[in-house]
Amino acid sequence: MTGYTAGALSLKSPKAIAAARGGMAQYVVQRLLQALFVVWAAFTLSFLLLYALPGNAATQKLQTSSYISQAQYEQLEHYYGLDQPLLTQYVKQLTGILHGDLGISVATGMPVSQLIGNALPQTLGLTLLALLIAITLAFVVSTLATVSRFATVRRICWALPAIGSSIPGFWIGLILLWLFSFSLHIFPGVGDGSFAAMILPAVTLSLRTGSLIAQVLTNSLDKEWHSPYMQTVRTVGYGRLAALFQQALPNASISVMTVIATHIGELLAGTVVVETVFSRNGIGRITQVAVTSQDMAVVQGVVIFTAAVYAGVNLVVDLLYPLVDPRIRNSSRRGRK
Amino acid sequence: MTFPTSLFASRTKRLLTVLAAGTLACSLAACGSATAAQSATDQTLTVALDGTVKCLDPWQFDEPAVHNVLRQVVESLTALDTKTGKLLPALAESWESNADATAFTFHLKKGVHFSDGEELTAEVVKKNFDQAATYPQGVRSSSYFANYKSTTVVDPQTVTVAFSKPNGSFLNHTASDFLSILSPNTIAQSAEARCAAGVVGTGPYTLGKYTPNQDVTINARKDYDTNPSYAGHTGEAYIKTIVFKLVPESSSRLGLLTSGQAQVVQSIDPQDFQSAEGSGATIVPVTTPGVPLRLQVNVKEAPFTDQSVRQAVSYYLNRDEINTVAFGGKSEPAISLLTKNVSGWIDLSDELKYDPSKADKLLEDAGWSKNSDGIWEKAGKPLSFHITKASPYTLSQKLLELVVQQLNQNGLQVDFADYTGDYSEVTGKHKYSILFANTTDIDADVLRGQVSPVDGGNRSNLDADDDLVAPLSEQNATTDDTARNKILQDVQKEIVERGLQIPVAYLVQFYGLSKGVQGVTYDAESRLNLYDAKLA
Repeated sequence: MTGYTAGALSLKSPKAIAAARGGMAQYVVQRLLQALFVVWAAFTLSFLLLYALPGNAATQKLQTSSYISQAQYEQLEHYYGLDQPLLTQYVKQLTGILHGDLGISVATGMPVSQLIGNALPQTLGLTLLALLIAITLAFVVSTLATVSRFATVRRICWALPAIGSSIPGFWIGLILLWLFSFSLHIFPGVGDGSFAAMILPAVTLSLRTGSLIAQVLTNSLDKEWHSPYMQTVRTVGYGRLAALFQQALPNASISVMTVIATHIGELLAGTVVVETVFSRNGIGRITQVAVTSQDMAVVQGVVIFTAAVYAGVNLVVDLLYPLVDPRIRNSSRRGRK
Repeated sequence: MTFPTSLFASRTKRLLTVLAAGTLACSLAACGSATAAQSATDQTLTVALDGTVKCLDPWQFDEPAVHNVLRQVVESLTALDTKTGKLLPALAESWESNADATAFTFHLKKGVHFSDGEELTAEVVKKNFDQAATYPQGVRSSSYFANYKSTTVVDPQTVTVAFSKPNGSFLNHTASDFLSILSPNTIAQSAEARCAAGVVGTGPYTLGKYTPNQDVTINARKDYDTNPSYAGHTGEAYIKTIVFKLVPESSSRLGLLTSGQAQVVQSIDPQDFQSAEGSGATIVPVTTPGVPLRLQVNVKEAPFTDQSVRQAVSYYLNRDEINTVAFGGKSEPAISLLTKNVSGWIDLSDELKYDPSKADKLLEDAGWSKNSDGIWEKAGKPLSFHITKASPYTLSQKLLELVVQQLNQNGLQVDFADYTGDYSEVTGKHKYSILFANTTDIDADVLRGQVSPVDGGNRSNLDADDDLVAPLSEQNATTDDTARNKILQDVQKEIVERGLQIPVAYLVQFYGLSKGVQGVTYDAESRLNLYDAKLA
């Protein structure tokens, strides 16, 4: 496929290529603006949601304390600017963010950027490892489900993704903890910054995403594998494995890109559960604690961060599509005409 | 976040039983021997705490986990003997007060240093108290300093704290972690900086690495020089490094304990007691001082305008069963309105006994009768009410389920739900029929704070001319223990007899200690004290 499309592109006139590039620029700007809108909308919606909840960071900090006078409570609200009108608080936060200042966490006293910055490497490492495991698992399972010579193996591998995606993450997490940490003493049971402590949570986190990728990949690989062109590929001299790895898998992988892109957000969301079960610091745990303590600035910071990651990954994938798939490139040009 | 642990508890238990033998064999053989070979001060202790440590300042937060860490780092002027209720010297060597409880003089210990090298002086204590009295972020301090006038430096080692109105409870409160004495360098910092970077105290440990939501490490001070009277040794703490792991999942805390990854665990769930003890660990129940978990009745809300109904509710509660079912029998039934570790408590086991027939009689005499469904009703209206849950205690859900079950069995229609919104508004405007809450305090003055309609929280919604107002104020205006305790005991009896506050259970922290851990003690507020702790 790739050889054919590269040839097709080289046949275009210089004018057509320039026009395609102009369309590309417009496409990029359009997608960039969309991404910015997504981030802003996520910020605004979460702001309104948090504001609509009863109580605020000050009441959450004091919780059920009966030792606070009304005067002290008001003093505290004023200190954190929680007594200002909704619009003032919104504009103040938004201008702060535009200036790169995410504010200060009421509960922890730390700047939100520092709180997220400290947690980010742990979550990033965890999600990347999880993604790696998920993709590896998905490819292994899908390949076996499609090309294994044993019918039983194929059947099992067809069924695995459905099972994997329906098991709750925290349950798997607790089982893995009991087995590999508390009983067999292979891995630490709580986060301690080591790589060993990252393995169990990464496996837990990878199962759902891996299953979803496997479901899509198995379907499309099956389609490719049984397509008429595979006959041609085999007859021109490709062996079974070469046909699989050089032709069928690359073609089937395009659909997987979309799944990965849309599930990056889900991986990040999954860290809320996984980081809690495995007692790790990270974006997920910060979010969970911040939501329960109505620590507005932190929740907003995490929302902006997550929305930016989500929009960013989708943007990159959207931009990559035309490069790998000529159909999308051609359709965007046709649409312009 | 809470997970429905009960769903997989049985599975977990099965796994445990299968693998317990292996775990035990390992801990008896090679795994435990590494620490034994090391010298005492090279030891590391791992403590698994329940909840979060959001802030490293004991003045600013209520959470037990925060205080379990910081109690090792900061000290207070005094300490309370949990058994006798007697005040013991700590940073203050001795103290005296005037007769009307408006002035308290403390003589400080000489040669005590903060871990940043600052010396403990009268001037430092004054700086602490001047700030604590009006600290907006302080969860307790401004209340403990009610009617604060000033702190005067008498000489470099002597301060006098003066109040414009009597404040007898102040003396006991000087033992609280909420009024711990901080370095002048900490006092000069902003509330945010103190939270994030941590406070500096005179305690045997200093704060080390802190990863929010994950762990806090503290290190023993070589130059520790307070040497408090209540401790078992002097000088440096036995254990050099303590790592506090913040573990929100209760089954994970159990696993850390049974697998030897943690030696001390806060909050072991009663359903896990057997598993923990099976691994050789000990469960230590520590009662949190103050007013127990209780039903605070709003007497202006029907049906509680009728005293008989309030009394009947109390007699329908089977506190023995509550202890057995909710606490695995490891606590004791509540028999008082103040916990037994608060000076001035009185045994009210007669008033708080389980007596359904007496309760039935009370309701019948008040004109209630059971309808065909077995529900009490009067003038066609069933005896039904809602309980508002306002206790953050981990077991409070389970306790309330039991309370509701016991009351329903006796023909009362009861349900419960968490409070919503601003707690000060819920309590200030009495937006409840019954509030289920607990209050931690080391002094009996907490009763005034909860019940008095004049200078307290008025949780039972009493009138300003109620009989209880005068004695509740009087007990705080004397420093004569005998006189004060007499007033307090009468007050407790009256509150319970009138059914204003109905004790349900003592709030108990269940600590798990693995085999080989020695010398762990608990301060008056039921926090860990690890200065004397050792690993065998």
